[in-house]
Amino acid sequence: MKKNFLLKLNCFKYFSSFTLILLFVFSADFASAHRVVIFAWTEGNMVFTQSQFSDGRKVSNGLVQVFDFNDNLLLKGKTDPNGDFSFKIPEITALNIVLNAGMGHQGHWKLSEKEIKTSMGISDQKPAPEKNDTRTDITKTAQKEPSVSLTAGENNKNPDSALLLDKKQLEQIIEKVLDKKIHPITRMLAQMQNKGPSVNDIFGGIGYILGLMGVAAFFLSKKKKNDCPK
Amino acid sequence: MHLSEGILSGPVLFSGAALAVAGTAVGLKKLDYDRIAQTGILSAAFFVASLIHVPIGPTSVHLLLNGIVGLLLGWCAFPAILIALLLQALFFQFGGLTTLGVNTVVMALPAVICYYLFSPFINKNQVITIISAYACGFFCVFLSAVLVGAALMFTEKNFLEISMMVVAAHLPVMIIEGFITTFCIVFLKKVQPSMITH
Repeated sequence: MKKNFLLKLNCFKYFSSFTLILLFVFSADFASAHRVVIFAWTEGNMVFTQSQFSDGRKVSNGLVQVFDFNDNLLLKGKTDPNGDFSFKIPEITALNIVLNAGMGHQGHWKLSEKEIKTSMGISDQKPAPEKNDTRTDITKTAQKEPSVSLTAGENNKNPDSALLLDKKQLEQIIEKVLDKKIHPITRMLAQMQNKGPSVNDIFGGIGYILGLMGVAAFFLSKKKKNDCPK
Repeated sequence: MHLSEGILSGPVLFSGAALAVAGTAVGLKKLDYDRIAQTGILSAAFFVASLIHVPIGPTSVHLLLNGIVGLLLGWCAFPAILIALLLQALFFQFGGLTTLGVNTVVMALPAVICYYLFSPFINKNQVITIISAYACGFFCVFLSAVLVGAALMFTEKNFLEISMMVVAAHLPVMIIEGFITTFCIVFLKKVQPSMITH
């Protein structure tokens, strides 16, 4: 009787310690840091990058290499403690930005040529007509193209007081302001890019393993039955 | 310890895949009906273990549990780890499909080596069991780290330097894994001795 009780107590002891360990293990941070992600965006003639592990921890001192379309190394640098690294666009070409966080951890981000051209204000079509100095030409351009003219007063009657901005200038101003406003949003998006594995993923994976186990058991049980003499 | 895609050269990827296929074939051959449940459970444990990470310096490492998987499964560690790694690549984007073979070898080969090295001592007396289980957990991660160094050697050029770095980064994991392996083996020996005697 006493022996039985002791055995039960022993079992309980082991069971509880095992449960405790499991609890400890599962309460540990579920997010893993075993994937690095680099996110890059352009602003004007600069490229900004942000690098982080999948748990949101920033990659500090990670090597960032920038390659062109033909895999030629254009420049390289290291991320700062915030995982940031920025550089001036070295060439108008598609860029492949590769982050190496050491020990076989690598992430990359591609920027297309179009993206870079748009950011630098270079259009693929024929370049916009040069800005002319003579007032008559400006008025002509304003009439010909759908450019915007801001007027102080009535510009038709009193052209001297007119403040004219051609399309290109206006675009540049808007881009500058937008960049400023969008910067924090882009940064936030960069952080959101990086989601650690969700509980669904984890249980999904375990489910797959159990399913495969079932499939294996099914086939092996058939084999076992066939092997047994009737 | 998952090697990302795009780092390793073709020959390394190819030989890794070939070794993984060979190991998995041996493992499947040895997998009998009675050990399916055990293999599946340990595969699931390995799958989840990678989510528990230890941040170290500029990078971060996670639990592997390949020591215990190897000790309990022997050659069956290959299919168990392959499946777990495949699901990790698909669900968590750890490693990748092209590096699946190399990653399998990096984790499963040390598991099999440790099985042959330490399993004869597991059924001895308590002290020897504890020491060999700890050594198994510790040494298995060490071997995996050395294999990562070997795989990266062809791109990073300096085997000793990169191996030392990986080993140093995984030192805390080796210590933790040693304890976990010891705990599991001692626990199983008490409650389910049939699991460790085969």
